[in-house]
Amino acid sequence: MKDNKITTVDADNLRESIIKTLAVIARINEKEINDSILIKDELGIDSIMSLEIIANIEKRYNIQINEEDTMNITTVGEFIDYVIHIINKK
Amino acid sequence: MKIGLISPVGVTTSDVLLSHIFDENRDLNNYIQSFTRAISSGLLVIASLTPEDIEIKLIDDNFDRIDYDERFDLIGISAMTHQSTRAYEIANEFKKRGVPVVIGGMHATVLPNEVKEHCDSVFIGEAEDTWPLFIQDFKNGRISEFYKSERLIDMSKTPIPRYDLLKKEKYKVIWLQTSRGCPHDCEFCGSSRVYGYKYRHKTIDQVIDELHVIHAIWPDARINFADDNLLVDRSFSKKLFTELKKFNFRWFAQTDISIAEDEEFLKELKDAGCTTLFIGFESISENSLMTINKNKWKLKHLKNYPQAIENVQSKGIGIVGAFIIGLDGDTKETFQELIDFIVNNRIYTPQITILTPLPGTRLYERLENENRLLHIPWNHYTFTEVSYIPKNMSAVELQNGLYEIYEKVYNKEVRAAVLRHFKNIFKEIN
Repeated sequence: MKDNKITTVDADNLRESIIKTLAVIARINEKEINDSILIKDELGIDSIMSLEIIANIEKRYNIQINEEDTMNITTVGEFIDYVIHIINKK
Repeated sequence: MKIGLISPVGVTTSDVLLSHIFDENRDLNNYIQSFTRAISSGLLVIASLTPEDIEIKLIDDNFDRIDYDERFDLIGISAMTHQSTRAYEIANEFKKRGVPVVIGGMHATVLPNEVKEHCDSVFIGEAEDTWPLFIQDFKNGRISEFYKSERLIDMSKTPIPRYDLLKKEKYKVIWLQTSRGCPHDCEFCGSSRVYGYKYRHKTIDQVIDELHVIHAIWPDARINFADDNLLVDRSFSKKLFTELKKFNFRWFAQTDISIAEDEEFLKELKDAGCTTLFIGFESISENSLMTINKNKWKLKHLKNYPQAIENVQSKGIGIVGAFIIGLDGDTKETFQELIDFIVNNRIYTPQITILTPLPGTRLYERLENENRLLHIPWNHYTFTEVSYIPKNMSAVELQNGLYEIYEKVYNKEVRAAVLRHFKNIFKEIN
């Protein structure tokens, strides 16, 4: 039986892809982004950039992200884990 | 010799209910504070105009504790009207200790005699000519009471502000001014009275040099352009966009609604890193817009507001839509009309303010002549508090009206709809 859950390798790819999306949309050097960095306070990603990032990820992975769920997310790592969780729920 | 340059703390609002709404909406709060708590860029220019042999300490009252017993030879303060009450407190403390104090900025420019009561010298107007003259006088021990700029400064000769004096980790948003002056003669605007109506800008090379300095300190900076209207000169703007793209900055600017008529220009704006544009719609009431500026420029654009908003936002650029309530054409019914307009047009960040007669403006003069000023303390001139007698309602009704509008346009359902709208826009354009 095929397991749809994201494997470790997939998760790494996904992590890399999300960080790339953050970097391109927020115009930030990719190398400065890591799991523990604060999305708003350190990367300076404001609400409109967040929406652009969410729209991009929704479209690419064909998922629906509820903006309210992301309100309490503060770090890049938490955001990536949240996206993996949503993809796994599909 | 050591000079302390101080930017007094900014006041967001003294209205407790409104304060609660701001606190609940983190993005709105961040946006408002990026204005009210912005350090005066004038102080960074003053620092650049100061000879190198003089030590400068920049103190931002928003973050830094002021040590009144620290040794300074001179204190310089720059303040806008809402900061002036605090500016006087700071000035009085230093003067008590025998330290000479000078004050400049918007408030000092329009009310020099009041400001003089709290300091030794007052700077009236732009300081590029007068600060070097003052420093000479100060070194010679014979300063004047007033230093008045006698001409509009040639922006192509202004120095790069001393961004290096800002504490890197404290500032997420960097303010950059490329021009001064605005051709729209709005009755309530204090800026045109200080900077004049003639649009003057730095050269592209100057701006590039400044961007390099900022980039070296904050490689991923978010730039807020401090210009009253960044996009007046389209050909200058296009050159600026080309350079901004190279730096890969994200940025915010203030402009007017005419920007929406040029689809190609809007796309270029987005490509150049523009995320948000502040647009002063001021009002959706014909009666009110009639009174704002002499050439009725905004009234002529009123019928195009919805399409213009759609044109800008459909490119993925959020509008900070600025509206004023309490204009003489406004009635209590205006509040609901404005709520409907904002909600129906899904404005990304609605900013509603109460008409505020800043000293030095035509509005202040008119209301004073009509005996309608309430003469509340300057630290209540926050654009969220009533400082005059409104024409068609009571002051309390106007104050409550502001709260009611914010409550309605920032309620959860309305905001969720706006966010969904933008998410769909981004899905379409990317």
